[in-house]
Amino acid sequence: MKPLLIIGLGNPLMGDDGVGVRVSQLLAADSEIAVAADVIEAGTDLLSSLDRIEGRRRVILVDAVESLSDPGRISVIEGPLLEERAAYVHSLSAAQAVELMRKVMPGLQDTRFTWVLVHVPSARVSQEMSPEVAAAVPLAAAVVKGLL
Amino acid sequence: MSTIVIEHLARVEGHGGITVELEGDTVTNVHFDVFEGARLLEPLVRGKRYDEVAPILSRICSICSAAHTLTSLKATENAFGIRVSPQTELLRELLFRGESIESHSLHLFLLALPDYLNYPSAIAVAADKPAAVLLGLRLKKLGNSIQEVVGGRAVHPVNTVLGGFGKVPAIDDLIALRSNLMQALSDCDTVIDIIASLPAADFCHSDTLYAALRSPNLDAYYTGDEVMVMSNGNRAIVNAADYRSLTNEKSVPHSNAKHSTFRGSPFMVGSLARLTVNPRRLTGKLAVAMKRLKLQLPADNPMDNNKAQALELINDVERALEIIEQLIRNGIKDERPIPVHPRAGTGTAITEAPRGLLIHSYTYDEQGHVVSADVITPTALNAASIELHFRRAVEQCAERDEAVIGKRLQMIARAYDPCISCSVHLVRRQ
Repeated sequence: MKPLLIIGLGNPLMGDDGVGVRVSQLLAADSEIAVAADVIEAGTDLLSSLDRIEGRRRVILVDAVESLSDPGRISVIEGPLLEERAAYVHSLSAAQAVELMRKVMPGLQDTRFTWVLVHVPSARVSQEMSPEVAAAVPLAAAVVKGLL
Repeated sequence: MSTIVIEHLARVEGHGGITVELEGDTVTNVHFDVFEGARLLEPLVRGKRYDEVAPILSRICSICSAAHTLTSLKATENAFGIRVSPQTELLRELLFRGESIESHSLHLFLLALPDYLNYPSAIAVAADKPAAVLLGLRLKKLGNSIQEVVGGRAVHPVNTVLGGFGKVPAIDDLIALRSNLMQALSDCDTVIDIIASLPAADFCHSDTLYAALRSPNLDAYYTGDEVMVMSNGNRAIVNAADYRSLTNEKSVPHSNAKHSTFRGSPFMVGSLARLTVNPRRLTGKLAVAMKRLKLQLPADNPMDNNKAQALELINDVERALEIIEQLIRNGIKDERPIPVHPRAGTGTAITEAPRGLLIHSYTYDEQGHVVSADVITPTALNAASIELHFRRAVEQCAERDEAVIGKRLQMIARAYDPCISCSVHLVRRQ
């Protein structure tokens, strides 16, 4: 098991919402990344990857963040992510899932969680992303590589 | 007139709410408001080639991705006249069991449990009762592990293809799963201990119509093509190809999910319906657990769906173990998927997703491109029944305290384990 795990989150059927998964797919095809990290997709259920998270030194989560301005902007946040309201699968958001896992699993106390968030204006049913967010995919992948 | 409005259902995914209108003590109107629906996804597969359909529709839901994938494959295989091997059917059933384990454990311990214990969230429960949350996470992890071994990934399986599997699981992986499942048998005892210890949720009673797949071997989620609808001893059978006579979908102004009724009556799908329709599953350990949970079938309380999920967790673990032992005993054959020869026609499949009946139906042209698609999810099927039970709960509530009624209605909604959109998951930061 590699000490670093990269997880792409989101739903590619919901347009810009799937940007995290698109970034992870790009990174999974990168041979330099493969040396340093495992790359997986978790869709909209981060808890499904619990098995893969345990035992890692660092986990980088790539996700969409709703933002009416600056679509495609990329933010990097270390540690807990504060949410206004979670509208996730079964109302357990990725941020809540991280908080829950860290609360009950002592082995995750030392795991460093880093969020790479791509700002998106909306999510609507489509397999296409908006041009601004699509253009941010390689940039976000580069940001993740820069974190390694 | 007074109105009770719950704008956003907590611990229920998506944009859903509840509106109750009262004239004095009389309930005049009840709405389960659904502002989004998975049916909007169907145009995404129109014109797509047959082998693109299941991977796309798998993305409708991360929790139910295996069910959507396998139901989609079954519908396409029915359209093209493909009959898969017994080994493929067994592996697909195992995948369903893994998904049911992860879904029920998530729902029971992280979403429903806080209601009974008066906590706002699973995170708050974890601070005081970490063992219960850890139990739920451990079982969820087991379910996802089964999906990873069989489907190639913990969510959105990639190994499941038309006519079979891209790659059959390695025997060593099955042996490891068997070991984990054997450990989970003792966890199942703890599940029943916890659910049996919860305060009674005894605030909604109603005659209920149940609909579930009538499986040929009584306990399958995947095989079978007949739905049994039953209530008070009356039974009706609906074949998969005639699913529209079951669903009878109608648009309602307050919801993007169409409402379904059978012969004019709402019906309930899910764990409680499955056990009601297939009661002969309830033997051995399940029968003992059922007595401990004080569950009687047919039930008249929708909150009993939580007890039914707990019983299914035991059944899922036991059945997954049986399947794996059978596969180990017989030896896994390195089968190739059955070749696909597309043809014009319609194929329909009905399976049991964790939340209940899931229907996929596609019409293909001669080249195997989708002409039309229809996907009906359990939450859409349950929508009218949820409203019926909301109404009964308000009618049966002696108090007219908005907070009391609101909590009860939210508990009923969550007992159905609804999956309103299973799609958007935008982060909204402070």
